[in-house]
Amino acid sequence: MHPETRSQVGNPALACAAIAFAVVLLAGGAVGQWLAFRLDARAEESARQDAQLLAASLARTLSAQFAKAARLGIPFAELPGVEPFLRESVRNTPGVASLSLLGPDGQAVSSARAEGTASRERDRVELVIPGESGPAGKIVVATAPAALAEASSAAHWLSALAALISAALAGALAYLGPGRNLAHRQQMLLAGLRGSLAAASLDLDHSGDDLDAALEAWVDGERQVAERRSALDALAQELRAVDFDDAMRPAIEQITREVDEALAGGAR
Amino acid sequence: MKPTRSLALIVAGGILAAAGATAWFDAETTERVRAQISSSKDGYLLRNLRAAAEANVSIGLTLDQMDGLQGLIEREREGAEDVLSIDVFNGSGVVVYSTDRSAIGTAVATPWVPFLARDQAWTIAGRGERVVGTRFDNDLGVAEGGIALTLKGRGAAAIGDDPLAVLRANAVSLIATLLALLAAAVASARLLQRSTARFRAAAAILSDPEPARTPPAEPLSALASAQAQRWAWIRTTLVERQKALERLDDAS
Repeated sequence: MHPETRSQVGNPALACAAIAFAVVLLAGGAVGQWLAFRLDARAEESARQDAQLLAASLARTLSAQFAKAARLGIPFAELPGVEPFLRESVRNTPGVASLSLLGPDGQAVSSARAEGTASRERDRVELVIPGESGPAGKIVVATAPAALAEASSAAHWLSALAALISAALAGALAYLGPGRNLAHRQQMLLAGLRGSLAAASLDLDHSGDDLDAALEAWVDGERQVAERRSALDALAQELRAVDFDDAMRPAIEQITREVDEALAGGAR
Repeated sequence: MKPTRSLALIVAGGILAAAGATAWFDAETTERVRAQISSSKDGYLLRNLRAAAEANVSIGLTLDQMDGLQGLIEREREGAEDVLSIDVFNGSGVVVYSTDRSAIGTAVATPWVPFLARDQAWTIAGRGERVVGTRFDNDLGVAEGGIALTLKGRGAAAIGDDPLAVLRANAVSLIATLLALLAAAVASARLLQRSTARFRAAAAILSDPEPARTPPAEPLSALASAQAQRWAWIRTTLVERQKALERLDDAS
């Protein structure tokens, strides 16, 4: 194939590879990201439930401990080391964002917060601290499920990487399979159209696609020309056979020479 | 096989591979997240129970006198569905408090006792369950006893045991993947058809017995048009020369 022709008519192998790469990257990437988002939702829901359980457990433990002080009539504000104790409790309990000790009037007596959880609070668990004569206060625990399980930021990247690798493999397979098949047949068609291929040497695979139709149309056109030429040659041969005195020979030779020239040169 | 079909199959395979790899990552990540959460919960529960037991020891109670521990372990057991049982045992390996009350007074599994010699939490993985434990100390740092949580084994969640349940849980994902796969296969076949439309145009030009005089701009169609014009010219020449021969024949 002439290089200029190849670049002008396009390379079907590259087109196949590009289509396979782009479609797999888009569709595979979209499916992968969607699956990864579902994973996020599932992981977050699971972490949320567990964070609530841990928060409830912490609230129960603290409520029981502060209830002892309430029974002894010690105001929470006068208990020593409450804040460090709350900080330690938050630090030791995974999935908890903050912890507050409220007095009987609902005002915060002390509170503690885990670092970096301000924007990640999700649910609140509240538990009343029982006193001798009614509620002595309240423990409020806010959960941060994301702190319990950093689910799947990696899953998004890995899924995108899987889509990219699959797209590259699909592109390579498309280039080597249907792409090369199309390129080979396109090369035959171009060679035929440029006169450097004999129709008889062409082995059509009858795949039924557009390129096959073009090749068949070319073979058909060449066959029609060959048939007409055969008919003319047969008539010339017949005339030579009855031309006993060679009177027609120059005219017959002239006509067949003109036909040869027409076929050799044509309008190409 | 038609190139459009081959391409559609390759594209479908590629998407299936991408979705399969993502599903595998998802399964791995889910398992890791579950293990992470479970480990956090177990650690918290153990620390909490150990703190309660040591608080009792520090005020001079012996293990037999810590009746509050029974209520505490039962409350914690209720709140954690993956905890099968909680046992508190003494230094001789005899269960003193347990959420399974029939186990009280019996000996703990032999491998648990040697762990009292170390201060760190320990884990024993068994078939379908695992045991995590820790010791609790007196004020002098000497082990007074141990606490053991028996948990459902990882990967033994109810959904994981039933293929139908797995299928139901992932039905939406499966259907969405299949739809995306079909749409992508059809789209790729259409795109290829569009990109090879020039061959259809060339076939039409080559099959036309009376080709247009003005050549098309598209390179392949231009080549086909030139070929069709050449055939038309040759046909005309052959017809004329055939007639010339016939005239010669008539004249003879």
